[in-house]
Amino acid sequence: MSFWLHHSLSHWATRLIVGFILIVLAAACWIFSSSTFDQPQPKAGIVLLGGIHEEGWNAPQYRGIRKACNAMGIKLLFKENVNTEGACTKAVQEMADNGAGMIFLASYSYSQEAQKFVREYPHIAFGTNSAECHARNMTSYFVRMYQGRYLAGALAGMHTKSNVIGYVAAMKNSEVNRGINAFTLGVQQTNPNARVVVMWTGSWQNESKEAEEARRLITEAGADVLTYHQDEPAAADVAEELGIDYIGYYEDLGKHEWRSDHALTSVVCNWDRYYEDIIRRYLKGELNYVDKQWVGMEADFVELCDFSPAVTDEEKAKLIYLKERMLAGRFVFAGEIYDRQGQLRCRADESIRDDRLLQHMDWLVKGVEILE
Amino acid sequence: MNNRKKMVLTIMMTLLLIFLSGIFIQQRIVNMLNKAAELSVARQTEDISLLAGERFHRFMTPLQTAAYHLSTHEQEKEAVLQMLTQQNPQGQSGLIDFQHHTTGRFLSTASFPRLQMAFHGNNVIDYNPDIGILLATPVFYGDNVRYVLYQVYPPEMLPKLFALSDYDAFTHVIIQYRDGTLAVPYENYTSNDTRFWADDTIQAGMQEVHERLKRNKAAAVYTEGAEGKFFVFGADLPQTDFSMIGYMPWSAVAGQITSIYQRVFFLFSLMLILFACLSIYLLMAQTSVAETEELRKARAEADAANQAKSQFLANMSHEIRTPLNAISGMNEMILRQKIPGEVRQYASNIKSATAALLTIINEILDFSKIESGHMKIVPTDYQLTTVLREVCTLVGLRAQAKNLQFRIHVDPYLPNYLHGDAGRLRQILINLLNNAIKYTPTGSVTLDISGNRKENTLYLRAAITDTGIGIREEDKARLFQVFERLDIERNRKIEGTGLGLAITHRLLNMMNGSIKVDSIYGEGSTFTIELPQAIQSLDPVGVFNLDAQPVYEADFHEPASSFIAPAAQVLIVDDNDMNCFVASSLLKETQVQTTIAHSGDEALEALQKQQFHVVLLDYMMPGMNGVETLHKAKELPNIQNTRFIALTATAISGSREKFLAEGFDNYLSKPMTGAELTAMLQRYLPAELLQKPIATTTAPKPAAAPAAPAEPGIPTVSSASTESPTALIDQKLGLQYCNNMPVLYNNVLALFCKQGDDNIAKLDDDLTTGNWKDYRINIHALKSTSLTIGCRSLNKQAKELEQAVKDYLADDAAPEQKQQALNYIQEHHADTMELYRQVVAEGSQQQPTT
Repeated sequence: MSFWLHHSLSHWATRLIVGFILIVLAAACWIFSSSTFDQPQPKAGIVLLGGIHEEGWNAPQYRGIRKACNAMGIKLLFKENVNTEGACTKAVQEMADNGAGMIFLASYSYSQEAQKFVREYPHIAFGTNSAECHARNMTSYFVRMYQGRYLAGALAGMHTKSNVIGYVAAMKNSEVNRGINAFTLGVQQTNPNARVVVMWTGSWQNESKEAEEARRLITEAGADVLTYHQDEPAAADVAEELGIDYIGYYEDLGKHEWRSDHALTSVVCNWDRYYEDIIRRYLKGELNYVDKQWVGMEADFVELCDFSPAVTDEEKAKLIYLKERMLAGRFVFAGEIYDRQGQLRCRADESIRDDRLLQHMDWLVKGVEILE
Repeated sequence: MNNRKKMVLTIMMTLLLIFLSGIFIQQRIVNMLNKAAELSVARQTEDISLLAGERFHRFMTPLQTAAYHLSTHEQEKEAVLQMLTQQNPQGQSGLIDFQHHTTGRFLSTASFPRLQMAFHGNNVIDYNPDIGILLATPVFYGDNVRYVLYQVYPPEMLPKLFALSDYDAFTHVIIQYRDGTLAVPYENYTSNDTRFWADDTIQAGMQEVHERLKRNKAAAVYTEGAEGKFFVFGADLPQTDFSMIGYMPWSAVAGQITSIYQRVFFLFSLMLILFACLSIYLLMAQTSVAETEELRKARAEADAANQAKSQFLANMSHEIRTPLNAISGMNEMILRQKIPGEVRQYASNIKSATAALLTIINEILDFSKIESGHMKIVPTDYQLTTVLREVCTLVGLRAQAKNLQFRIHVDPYLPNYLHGDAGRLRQILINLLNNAIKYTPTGSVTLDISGNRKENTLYLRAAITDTGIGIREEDKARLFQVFERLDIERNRKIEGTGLGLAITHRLLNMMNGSIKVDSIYGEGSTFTIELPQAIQSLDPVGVFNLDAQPVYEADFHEPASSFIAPAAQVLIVDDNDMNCFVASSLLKETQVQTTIAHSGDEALEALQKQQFHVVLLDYMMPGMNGVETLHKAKELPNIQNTRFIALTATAISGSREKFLAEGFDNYLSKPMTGAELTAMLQRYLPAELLQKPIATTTAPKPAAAPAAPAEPGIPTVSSASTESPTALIDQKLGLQYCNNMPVLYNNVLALFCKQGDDNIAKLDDDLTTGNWKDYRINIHALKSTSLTIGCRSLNKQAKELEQAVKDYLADDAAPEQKQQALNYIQEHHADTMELYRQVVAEGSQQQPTT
């Protein structure tokens, strides 16, 4: 009995000890194999005013940031149809809880609301496309869309026969004014006799009003080329219907088969590049180094998309020339510029500085007419 | 051995595992430490990049101040440029307007594409490998930019102005333009450094750095190659298109890590050593287990040898008992003969020697049985009084023989009906009492029986007190040891094996009892045993009186042939001829009809042929043994009235129950005495077959005579003159010989009585004159006539006398034989004649039968 006991005891002890050692080793290996240096996958968020499938502003935004995030290996959080009072605050709170490191507020409308909450999230980098609000952790991120507007204006100036060009504009702010001014300067570059007639709708999205005003611009003012600054192409649809030339904005209208050659071109932004740039800057920790970031045609962010057959080669060559001149230093807002009141806004040997363009474009250039 | 191999294998495997995981963990630690170092180097790089950026901004600040001044004093262009050059002679200052007209240092906008950003109102730092670094700042007039003020630093100036060689002694930093062109090397940049940067490992490291820079502010990578261990790192300089790259030797960053390595290594070595120690310990433990294994084997062998010894003893005891049976049987036969006193003396010496030898053999056998573990305690229900009576009867005789007083006191309130091994209890008591008697030359031996009741158990206490020689204090410890006999010098004369007390002690242990000794040397001893026995019933013993009941065993000591049973059929089964002869000889007196069978088969055959009243069946036989034979016999028809008695030389005690369980009616241990055998037969033969024996020369003790209580049964071999109150003449028997004709019988009897006196006179005459022929005829006649009248005893004695005469007259008889026969005749003649007279007296008084 005692022999057996002794024997089995030692055997038992051996097994116990060997087992213990194995467990310790396994634990050690496990401890050392789990790396503490792998950073968690970063998350970026975007808050959109409309639905992600609404063409015009929202869908390209979403597509762009989605593409950029996929390319960069970043998880995208998004919140669509955030268009009621306080909804943005709630959406941001949700994303912050979800671990978003960067949140892009993809509407000009959020600026007032954002002013209140961005400071509550000092560890989140915010991006916005509104120049009106500022915070240490929020950067206004802009595209020099006006460069595209300038070239579009040049095309419109070459195409008009009635010398009246219609412009359906959303509201009076620096961004819209800048677009009208750049477009008008472009028109004047190719057709000093042409007039740009602007109608205000007062909102970013109001299809019936946009359509109605587009109709008025054509029938009342006699415009034979139309463009617009709205979130939807309602004005373009009217122009198509009435058979006059038009230039799209944000969205490549020509890609729709049903549109005729009147869809001359569209001023578009390559949102994926735009967002890739923002996200890279965020990852590098540079997003909030400056309070605003403004890029444009030099980085191919902005372009005129494929022209319709109605645009002649001469016209195209003219546009290429103008673009190159612009990139070489002959800026849109440089040289002698007067406003509608006749005030000199820029001398012949000057160019207007960026922060003025961004925040203080509260005037329209000479040659813009307003149709009330 | 196999286990040891397994053990070694386990240990080796574990060591291997520890070793492998050690390597793994070491590598992980190195990796992790390097990763940690990379992180910290990256942070450092970030700081350096800020520092580098700060360098540029340091040169930017005077430019901005000048631009501010110019925006309010447009006409002071020349003065401002001059002031800038004075302030910073290395920089070549200039002013460019919107039309690209330059003042001061000439500048082509094509050389610095970023310059136009300045016209958008931004500060610009640009690089051209041929021209150098450009720092430019816009000059505002209101909302607009009218000029751009700039300074150009040619390449040869760069290391002196922007290099970060003063960061620390180990760190080498290059400021690169974003396309990888070298902008600002460190001050003592040589061809060696070029080679260093061109090294594959370093290049690969830099690629990794650039890869990481896509997503990080700064990055560092550990490289290990031909150049040694280095950290290469890089960071983008904020708000410029410059990056900063550099390297630092591993030792500068992680030199302290070596000590961590050493500690980890030390810890692992310690673990390995510990494990090795443990392994060695376990191996040793394993070895000792193996050794104890050998010990165990050795013990098993010793046990087996001991077992064999015990078996041998048991066998030997059996082998000895068989011839002993013959000796004691034959001796008893001799003692039954009319033999001269001298011879009788010899024979009784043989008898006592045989008895002593038997005791010794029994003790040895008992002991070997205890040793070999064959001894079983067989509890049965028994009466305490019965056991005590048996014991006292036996022991009383011995005490009496030694002239010792034997006393017994029994607590009358003890429960009488107990459950336990009565046989063993008897053995223990007899052992102790015999011992007491043996060692007590004069005085008394006292048995005190008392007990304590605890619930259903009686702690039976027996104290045996003697007035003997006593035991020395120092000897008490050895008392219960095997083969120990104390005080050998003094006790030389006392026979014994020295096993008695050892057996007693062991039996008590087996029954959870205990024994203790109190003794005063020279005055006597008291042995006290205590034995737990279950209580069957609380009926008290009462006043213990040896006379109260007839003791069956006492019958054994009654004289033999207390009966005759000529019609009884007894079958004796034994393979040993001598045993058969002994048994049949012993039974001769009882006149039973004996049949001999030498094997189980023969016995069965005989049983089929004829009905027997009693079968004496030997246990140990070749072929079928006794038990098997019994079982087969029990299956035979008409067997239910046959009684079977086992005969065995194997078992001494404890076997009785075994044989009874097998179906035997009783059991006899060889060597058996004639008394035992006849007692057994008397008990088992049908009562109607039993007859009173015809009185012989030795008058039988009356069967009903009680055993003497105070002086227990000493068989009285008293004078022959004792009258027998019983009838000598068996009329039935006589009638049988007279063809059941009472008239004939009466005549014969009358004649017998009438001739009696004449015949006696004649025979006496013949004897004295030596007329043997006449004597023989007359005695022969007496033999016949006595049987005819139904007197078997007389017939027997006559027959024996006739035989003696025959022997005496035989021609070929040796002189000794003649003498013996003559002695017999002379010795027995008177007795026979006396019997003759008694029979005649009885016969003449008898009423004629009808």
